Amino acid sequence: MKCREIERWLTSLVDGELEFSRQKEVELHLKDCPSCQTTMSTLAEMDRVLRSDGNSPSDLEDRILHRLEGSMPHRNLNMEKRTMILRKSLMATAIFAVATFGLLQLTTPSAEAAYDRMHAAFQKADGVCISMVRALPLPIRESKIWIQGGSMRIEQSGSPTLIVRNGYQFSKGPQGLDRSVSTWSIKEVMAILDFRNVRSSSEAVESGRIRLIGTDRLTVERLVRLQIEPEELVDWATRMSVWIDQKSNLPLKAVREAYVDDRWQVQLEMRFEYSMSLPPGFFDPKSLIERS
Amino acid sequence: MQHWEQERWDRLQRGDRDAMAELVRETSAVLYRIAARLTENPEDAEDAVAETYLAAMKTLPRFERRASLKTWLIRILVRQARRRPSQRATSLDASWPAAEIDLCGNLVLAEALERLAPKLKEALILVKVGGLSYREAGEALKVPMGTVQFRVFEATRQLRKRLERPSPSVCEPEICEAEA
Repeated sequence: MKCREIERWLTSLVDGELEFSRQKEVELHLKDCPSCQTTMSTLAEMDRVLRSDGNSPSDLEDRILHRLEGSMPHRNLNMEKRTMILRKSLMATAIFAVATFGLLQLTTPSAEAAYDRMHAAFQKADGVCISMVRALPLPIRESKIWIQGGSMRIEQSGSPTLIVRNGYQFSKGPQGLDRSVSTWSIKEVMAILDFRNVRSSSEAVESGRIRLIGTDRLTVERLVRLQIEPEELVDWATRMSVWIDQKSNLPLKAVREAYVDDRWQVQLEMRFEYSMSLPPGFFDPKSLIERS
Repeated sequence: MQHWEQERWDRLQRGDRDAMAELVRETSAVLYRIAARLTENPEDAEDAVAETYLAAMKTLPRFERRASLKTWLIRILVRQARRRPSQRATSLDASWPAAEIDLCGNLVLAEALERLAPKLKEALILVKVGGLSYREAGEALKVPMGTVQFRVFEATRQLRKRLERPSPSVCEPEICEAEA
């Protein structure tokens, strides 16, 4: 990745808002690039200064409260009244919940609960293969991630194959096998696939884009979020849709789209397969040398 | 939404005076810091904060709880600040001495911030000064989270360029030497 591209992500990195997958790329680049290291330290210094920016006057609260005095509510509820109101409100909530629970369950399943079920099912799944095709903005680059037990094999066109086992990641190096401590785990794979970002139901609800689409065999749930891929002077909105098998709760397909040239274009598509039978030694690091 | 926040909304919407006072105590400092940077004038900042609470009290009864209280207040504050023409304090004001003095010679923040386009400046201030996440800032500015990410990036990029070459008019060598 070039410095110009990296620079776009440094601000997000300083703000703690960079996607995990991108963070790895950026950190790798920073390690060997003095120019980006300088940019990074300037950004970090600017961040520190802005975040520690200014103090409010010590009597600000009192002054504000004084100014609001005439407009403040006159009711000063005592504890007894508060308890009564709380009880009434709890009772009303309970009645409402009982009256509507069945209906809610049928028509608007919680996005967060759906995500939690999917996450739990995915973590238990075995013999998983995730195929990824990136369509935009990078040239088409196919990737596959296989997961079985605690092992993973990651193949990406243009990059060395990685095998992750027992907390280490292995790849083919000039001297044979390269081994380093791995931060990859199924949890991280989920994060890389951006599922963590649809986790918050409030986020999905706030964007107002939860849609339920019925099909013949599957009930498909579509969770949509808004995100950005910053491009020089262009605002890019992207959204993620996940199709979940309601029987097994497993993700079947996920699509990330970007809003470019006044239309949604597929940026990344992922397809999931389960219970795959993989050849013996598929997750053995030695296979990286033997097969090459 | 957290349970305590729901309860707070309940109390505020019932017109509980104590809840309003608590809200002012908890949020006025951060609102002031944001307003001070948006208006670049301490007096305007205090007015904007007071007007924010007044506007909040008016809209409270009919407000739908889609955002956190803090985000909602900041959204109102941004509107209040937009109504005021930005007028930077003429001197290095006592409200934010640390930022100005630390960076004098290399970074003269107020001047550089002032030159940013309003949309970029708002996003940057909400995230950096207000401590909002990109998502929260998006809610406050009513734009997608990604737009905030882009604006913060662009604001930082422009800020960095300007601060690397500070304008001589705002960074007099004698001021820097005196502060040092």
